[in-house]
Amino acid sequence: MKNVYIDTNILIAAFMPEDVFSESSRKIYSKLGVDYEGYTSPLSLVEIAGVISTRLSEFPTELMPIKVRKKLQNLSSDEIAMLITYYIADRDGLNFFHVPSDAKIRIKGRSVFMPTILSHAFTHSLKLGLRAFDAYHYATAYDLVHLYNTGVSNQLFEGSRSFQEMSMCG
Amino acid sequence: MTEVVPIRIPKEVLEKIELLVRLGKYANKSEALRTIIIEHLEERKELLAYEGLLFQDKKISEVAESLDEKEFLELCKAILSGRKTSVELVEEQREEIS
Repeated sequence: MKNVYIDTNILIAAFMPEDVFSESSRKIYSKLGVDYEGYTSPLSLVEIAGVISTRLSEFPTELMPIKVRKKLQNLSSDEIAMLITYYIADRDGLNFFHVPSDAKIRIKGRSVFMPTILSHAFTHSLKLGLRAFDAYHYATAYDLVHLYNTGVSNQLFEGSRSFQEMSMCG
Repeated sequence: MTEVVPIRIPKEVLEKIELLVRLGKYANKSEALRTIIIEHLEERKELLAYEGLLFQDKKISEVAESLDEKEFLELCKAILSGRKTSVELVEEQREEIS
């Protein structure tokens, strides 16, 4: 089983037949839980929700398949966005990785508290000049590998396999 | 308006409450527990901030169960189709906030 970090665009490309990444994305999806153990950040959920919500706001509901439109008629726009987001994200073999702790950064004697992953993203951003969201994803993938090697993995990964072979998708 | 709620609490917690009452921090055990609960709810506002999501979850699960795989795929395809690529759609999200 190979461990892969999957970026948000790969998660949505599987549902965009015309997209350049559609075929490779569907291939990855079909192998999740079989050949690949997929990992992504909970941030991807927010990004998928943002994409779907934006698309819905521009999308004429008349273009929805009639049968589907009828079933969705009692849902608000944000509820439809949530429904689709959950559908895209709810895959066997796709795990949302998060370090369940907070960190503290000292700024001139003042303490700034934040999720640990965000503090790591902060560090990567300083070192590599990454944008905030890219840094957050990078920190998540980095921690998956790095924390595993430090032996924290038993607590965090619950039965996941070696991350030595982990690769990035997206 | 108040209501009486019988609760079970660990002995060591009760001893701490009784100590606080003896120290004069609260008039009695009832006031101590009431104040601590009210303060906790005030400090942990996030516990109830998104309670609407829990109700939404149930409603959405019901609709999700009524849709089959083919319908979901049609819905996703319809909503995501357009000129923009998957990379551009995600990039928009990152550009807007970063």
